[in-house]
Formats: sequence, C-alpha cells, structure tokens
Amino acid sequence: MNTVTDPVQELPDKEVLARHTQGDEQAFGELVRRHRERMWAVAIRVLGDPEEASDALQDAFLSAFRGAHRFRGEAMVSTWLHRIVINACHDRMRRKMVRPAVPTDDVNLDLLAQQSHKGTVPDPTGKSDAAMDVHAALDRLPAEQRLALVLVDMLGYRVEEAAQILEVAAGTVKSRCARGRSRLLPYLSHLRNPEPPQDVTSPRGGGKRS
Amino acid sequence: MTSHVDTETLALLAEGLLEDGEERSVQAHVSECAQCSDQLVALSDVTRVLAEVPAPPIPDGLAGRIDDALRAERERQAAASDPGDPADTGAADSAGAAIPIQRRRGPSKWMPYLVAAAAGVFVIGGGAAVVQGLTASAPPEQAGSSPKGATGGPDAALPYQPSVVASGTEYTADGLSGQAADLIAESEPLSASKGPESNAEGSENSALSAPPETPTGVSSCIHKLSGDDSRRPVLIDIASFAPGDGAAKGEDAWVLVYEAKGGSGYDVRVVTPECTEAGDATVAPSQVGPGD
Ligand SMILES: [Zn+2]
Repeated sequence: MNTVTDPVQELPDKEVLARHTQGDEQAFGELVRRHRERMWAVAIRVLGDPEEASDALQDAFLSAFRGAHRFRGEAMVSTWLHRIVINACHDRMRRKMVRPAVPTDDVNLDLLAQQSHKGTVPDPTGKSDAAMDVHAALDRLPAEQRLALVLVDMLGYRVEEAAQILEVAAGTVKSRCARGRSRLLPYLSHLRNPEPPQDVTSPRGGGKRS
Repeated sequence: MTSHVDTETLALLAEGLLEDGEERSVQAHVSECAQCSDQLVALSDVTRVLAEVPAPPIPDGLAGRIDDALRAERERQAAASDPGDPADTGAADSAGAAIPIQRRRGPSKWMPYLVAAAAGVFVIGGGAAVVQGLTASAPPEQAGSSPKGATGGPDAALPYQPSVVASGTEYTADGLSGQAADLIAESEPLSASKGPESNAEGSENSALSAPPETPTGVSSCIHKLSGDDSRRPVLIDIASFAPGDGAAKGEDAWVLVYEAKGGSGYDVRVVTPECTEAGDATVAPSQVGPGD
C-alpha cells in the first residue's frame, strides 16, 4: 500500500490518469486542477461565448473522466485533453450551426445590436471591440480552419503540437492556417492599425478550395 | 499586365506550401508589386491580431461546477456498477455514509449523499398513494432557530438511509399532508431503515433496475433550504404539485420529507425545480400509523 502514500499531486499526468482508471477518487480532480485553465483558454477561443465554453469544458472533462481507459499512452495527457476539449467545442459549433442563426438569448441580441450599430461585420471600418470582431470573423471559417488558427495563431502552439492535437499532418495544419488567414483578412484588416485599410485588390476571401 | 496574386496563394506562400515553380513566380511578382507585398504583410498581421485577442478568465464557479459534475458522475458510475445485489448492499451502504463526511465544500457534500440514496432506491408504485382528504392546519415548524436535532450535524454518521422515489403523485396544496402521509406510510420504515437491505425482500425491489434519476439541483436546493438546520430529508419524491385551487395543472416539484424536530411526525416541504418553496405541511405520527 505504499503507493497510496504518494501524494497524487506529485505524480506526472500519466500516472495520475492511471490512478484514476484504477479507482483513485482524488486523481481525476488533480488532472482537472492542472489543466482547466489551459483548457478554458482553448474553449473560450474556439467558441467565443463564455456560456458555451463553460458547457463545453464541463462536457469535455466528463468525457475524459469516462473515457480515461481509452487514453493511449503514446500521447501526452495534455494532448489528449486538448483533443477532447476541441471535440466538445466542435460538437457545440455544429449544434449552433444546425440551429437557425436567430439569436436565442439576450446576450446574442445585445451583441447583434451593437454590431449593427457599429456596422462592423459587413463594413470593417468602424472602431469596435476587437475580440467581438475576431469571433464574428472566425464564425465565418470552416471549423477545421478555425481550430487550426485558434491553436497556432491565437494560442501560439507550434504547428507540430497543433498537428498532434488535431491528428493531422503538420502540412495540413499549415494549409488550414494559411487558408483561414486569407479568409479572415478582409474582416480583420481594420484591426491592424488606426487608418482605414488601403484600397487593396478585392480579397478573395471566399475560400475557393475549402 | 500581370495579375495580382490572390490572398490565399499569398498565405500559402508565407507558409512555404507552394510548389517550387509556383513559388518562384509568385515570389517574383511580390518582390515587384507593392500591393501584393502589402497584402503579405497584412496576412502576417492577421496572426498578430489573433494572438492579441483577449480572452475572459475562467468564470467564477466553473471549477466548482465541473467538480460537482464529476462527483455526480463518479457516484452514478458507482451506483450503476452495483445494481442492488443484496450481498453488496451493506458495503454500498457504508460507503454511501462515509463519502459525504469527507467533503468539505458546501453543496457538494449533499451530492454523494443523494446519489448514494438513489443507489438504494425503492420505488413506490405510481398512483398508489391515495388522497385521504386530511387537511393540514398545523403550521410548519420553522427551521433555524431551534437547537440542532437529534440527528446531529451533516457530518454525523447517518442514522437513516434517505430514499428518492418518483411516486407519480400529483400533490395538491390541500391534500399535501395526507398525500405525504401516504407516501411516508408506503415508505416505512424510514428512520428505522438500515438501507436497501430492508427492502431486499419486498416486491418494490424489482424497481431497482430503474431508479428515478435524481434531478440536478435537488442536492444544492436542499442545502440552500436547510440554512442552519442540520436536518435533511429522509424521503424525496420527484413528483408534481398543484398549488392552486385544483384548476391549475401540476408542475414538476420535489416533495421533501423531514423528520420533525423532536422526532415526532414529519415536516413536508414542496419545492419547484428552481428551488422555490411551493408549499409545506406537517404530518402527525398518527397519520402514518403505528409505524415502527
Ligand atoms: Zn501584385
């Protein structure tokens, strides 16, 4: 029984997860404590909305809790958790798209009202809340481009890390990022500097190959 | 005239994803075209803008919410893996009693308590309760001002095993006392129960395979209601309640049965899923018969 005396706090992630699968009731909570801030950072950037991100995070930790026995030892626990969080976010993004794009709560209504006052989304010249603009713009991307950009550009992960999380080749991550950036450009160019953007060639943000 | 390079191609160029031939020709154009090289800079600014987006911090309470959800899941799994085998109920019983004691945080300690109760649930036949027409007139005993009951604080060893049922009863304001009395009578023995094994021989045990799901919020609501009162319900019926004159349709409600202070009779409180108190009543010992 001397393993029991090892404080779970001092064990590496993989051993903590193993403890959990062996029935240690403290173990999973320790993993949550270690990773929840980072996982929140992922979820809030993918989803933009704190309510949605909170729900996604809870879903994710629950499915990690249930699926811990499926963890394959060759990945890092944090990579595995990232995957689960991203999947949980992805599920919510899909559900949001299935629902009609009608605001269903006051928060959304407020956001829409502000946006229409400022005219930010269709006409990127007004000064507006950058975070809101970015999320409105990210909403226009295919999910795979958005996820790649969240990991690489927003969170600063190396392409290889993002590739492991997303379970695709590094080149795929790069091309998703590249296409995503080109799509975002027309919506974000007003955030680059105070001056209105120059009259550039009409950007082909339409993603001809997505 | 040479056409400009589209933005996507520029973005791919920046990532080094163009094929050699295309890369050379695009590079050649960009090096001589201010507009396209500006666009290339603009693309790198997209990355900068994305990196600078502030994100709200993790909301207050989310960590606790996740912990609660995980705890509930753990208890649910424990309950599912122990499907009421009479040989095991003793162990499950003591585990159920032991878990809450180790929880320090507020509402959390109620969660395992309730889920442990659900594991040993016995279901009263739907519609079995009969309205006896007894009208409650005694005011409910107010909690909070009197000394702690004999059952002790929440961390004391549980002298009883609470039960969660879904009787299907539609409680009414006028009939509450009698309906609750029926519920209690059907559920006897409550305080004398040592837990599930008391019912192991009863026919109700067949319902063990489908225990009513304890709605989320019951435990925190009970905790909220209890205030300084250390009492906890001995019986919880997930049912419905029609507060009005009989015209109103019954709404989802939880009927919480507490042992009355002094150990004589029961206090009944009805709450909505929003944890609003919708009604209350008392049940005299005589209403539930000689009992134990
Ligand atoms: Zn050009």
